[in-house]
Amino acid sequence: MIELIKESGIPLLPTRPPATVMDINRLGSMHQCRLSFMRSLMRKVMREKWSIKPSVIKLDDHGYGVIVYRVDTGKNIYSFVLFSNHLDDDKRNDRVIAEEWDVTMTLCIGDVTRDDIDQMRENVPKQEAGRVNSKMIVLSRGNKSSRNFDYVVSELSSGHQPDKQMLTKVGYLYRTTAVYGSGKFGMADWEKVKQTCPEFATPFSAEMFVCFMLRHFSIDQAERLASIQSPSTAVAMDDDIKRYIGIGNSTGLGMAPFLIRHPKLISRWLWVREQALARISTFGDVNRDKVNKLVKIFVKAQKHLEETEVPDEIQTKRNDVLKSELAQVIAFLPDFSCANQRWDTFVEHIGTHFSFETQEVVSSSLMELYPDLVDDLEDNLTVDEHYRLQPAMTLSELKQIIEVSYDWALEIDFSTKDANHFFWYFSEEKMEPRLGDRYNEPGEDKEMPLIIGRLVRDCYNKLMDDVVEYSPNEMIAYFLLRRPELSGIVTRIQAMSAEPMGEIRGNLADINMRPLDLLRCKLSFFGVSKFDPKSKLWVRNTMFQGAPIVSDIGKTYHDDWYFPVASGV
Amino acid sequence: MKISKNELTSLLKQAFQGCGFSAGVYETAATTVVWCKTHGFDISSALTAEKMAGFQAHTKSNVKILVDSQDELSVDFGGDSFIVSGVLMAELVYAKSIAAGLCLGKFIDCPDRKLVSKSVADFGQRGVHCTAYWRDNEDPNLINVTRTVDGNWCPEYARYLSAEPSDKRVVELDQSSLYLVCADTSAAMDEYLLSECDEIIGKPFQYWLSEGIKANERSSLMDGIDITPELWDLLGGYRDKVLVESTDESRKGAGA
Repeated sequence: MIELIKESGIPLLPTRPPATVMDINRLGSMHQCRLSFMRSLMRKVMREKWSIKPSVIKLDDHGYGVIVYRVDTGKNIYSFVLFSNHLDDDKRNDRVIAEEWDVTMTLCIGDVTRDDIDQMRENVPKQEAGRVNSKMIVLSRGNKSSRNFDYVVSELSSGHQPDKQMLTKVGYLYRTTAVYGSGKFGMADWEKVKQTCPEFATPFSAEMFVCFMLRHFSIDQAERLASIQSPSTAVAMDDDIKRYIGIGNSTGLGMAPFLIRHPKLISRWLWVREQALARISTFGDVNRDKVNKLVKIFVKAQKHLEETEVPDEIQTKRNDVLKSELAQVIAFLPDFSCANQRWDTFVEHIGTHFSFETQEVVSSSLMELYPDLVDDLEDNLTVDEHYRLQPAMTLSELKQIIEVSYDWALEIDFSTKDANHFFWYFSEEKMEPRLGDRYNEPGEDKEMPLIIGRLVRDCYNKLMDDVVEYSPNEMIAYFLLRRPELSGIVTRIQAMSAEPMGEIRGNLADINMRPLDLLRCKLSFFGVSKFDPKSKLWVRNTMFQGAPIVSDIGKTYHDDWYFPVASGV
Repeated sequence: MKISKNELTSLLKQAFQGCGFSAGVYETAATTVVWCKTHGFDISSALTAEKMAGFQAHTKSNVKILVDSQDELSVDFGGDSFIVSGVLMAELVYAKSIAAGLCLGKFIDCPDRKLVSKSVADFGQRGVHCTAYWRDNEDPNLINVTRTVDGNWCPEYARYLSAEPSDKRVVELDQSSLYLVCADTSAAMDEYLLSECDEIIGKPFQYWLSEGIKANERSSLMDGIDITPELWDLLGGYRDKVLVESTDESRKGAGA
């Protein structure tokens, strides 16, 4: 970790303990923050003044066809290519298993030729069933929010602006249903992107950019269709409304295994976030201006929550508690901060008296006060994800690592039926990751090795046996030759002993486990808002709501689009 | 056809799992094959239909340790591919060399020996001097060598013409054995090679420098990896064995 903080001159600081940070319930309560990928991407786009202009427009009067946007970052050229098609309402399906969409799109390195577009036309609309090439770095698709889209087009064509309040319920015109990168279907590997596309060399920034471009297209498309429908009366949309329009997103279980399979990366993300909080606690000056700004952020968060309507009872209750707790925090904050003069005392107080949701809003909001202490950390969100076995380690050394770093796993009782209820597997349908009931569904023999706590427990038990039967000083290499099936988990344990925040502390097979918590953690790093759970297994949310629009690039940028609201606060 | 490194890695993991490899083993096998493939080593003979069927039918390891001393590990693989347990055996050779200063691994009757190149690269990155050599499958007069190069994370690969028979140990190599040497210093490695197999010192018959091997990796990353449709289909068939049938009930497990 020593190499972590590049050129900031700020020393590494002690963070909250992993047991606090990696509690699955806390992870399931996280919110976007300044370090979220969308926020970071927008800062880069605005700072570097990217030019985004359509270079090919072949759309018919219904808006169907192909459009290419040329993106000039100042260093490189990229092309965002989108195919728009007619889709019957009854075929509109947000699930991974869908086979047709309103729009399909890709982000490519460089300019595209007519031949490139022809080749893309044969493959991009097929998504998983097509083959693309290493010039492409993201493949995605989206569906219309028909009611919203038709409403907005109708209003614009008749010369009116859409009512912002209408957009508070569903704050987007299109929603993405999958965004693929990292070499899927023949695309460029992440390593290539990292090496050759400096604009997108931070995790998921290319994927986020595609969502930003879909948002841009959705507004473009609505204005274009309004103009075609009624050339004499149509008006352009007000910029303020454009900014309030985000892009919808449906995220399902597929995202959850990622968090478990990339523990070093997750550790880095959370550790960096914790460093930001530690910096604020240590160096963040507490004064009247800062306190007033924090109060304003909390008020905005309350308003945002009031405008967030979700049918899910649990989330509604959590939002209600959050609103009420924020009111309490707003009431005591000025006196409290004057008396204490340090944010760590405030954070500690919140941590012991308020819900996880409130704690996490407070953490995210504090970061907004200190961009100078936080923003440089965004350069540290990538990591070498190689996991190397340490074969010369002794059995007793490994045993000790487990007892110290995986104490949480040893505390879980895996002997009950409920503790083993779920298993994760790949379905034959598009290889979609799914969660099965171990006792009532087939496929247990094809289980993915994702229940890390149980794997650690199993490894520990066998280690204890061998410590007795062989020698505590025996090398791990011998242990693994006897038990090769443990080589994966042993390598992971060894690697993660130096990465305190990579393991999600909970039993991911337990009957009460909520995969939603895992999705929320990752989505908060993406920077989404308005979590709208549709079940324990998938969630709708909104991306880029409140963010700058393309025509804002080049103007003064205020990086304050957190907790977006329809009306000013 | 061209595929990405990530795609090949995922496909191989699932294909090896479909063959019955356990977790950990299939991951190691996949990353080993992918490393060799992306760095320009021809691994087609390690992934034939016959080999894959053999992996699947293989339920019991044939591997037997014959000698296990402080500085030597001699293992009879009994015809088991390096893919199955070669990496773990190589790790043991490496681990022994840390304590002993130098360790020789003799892997007897071990097909797919070229895959050791990934282990050589790994050990080089950990700061150990490593040389692996084996007599060529097709031409017994050729000896293949993969070895670490000082200050370079990527090994080099060379082929030597076998000299006149001598008492040096390299002539003992049959066409199915692999020798792997790990040493903590270059001096220890040089001393070993001079005394035990001087045939692989000096100018090789053919060689690929680290830079060339790195260039292969870069090309794989930039342009994609060439794979035959037959291999794609073969691996896909084994991958399908780990997929679970979709039912109305299972769709609920995806949030439907």
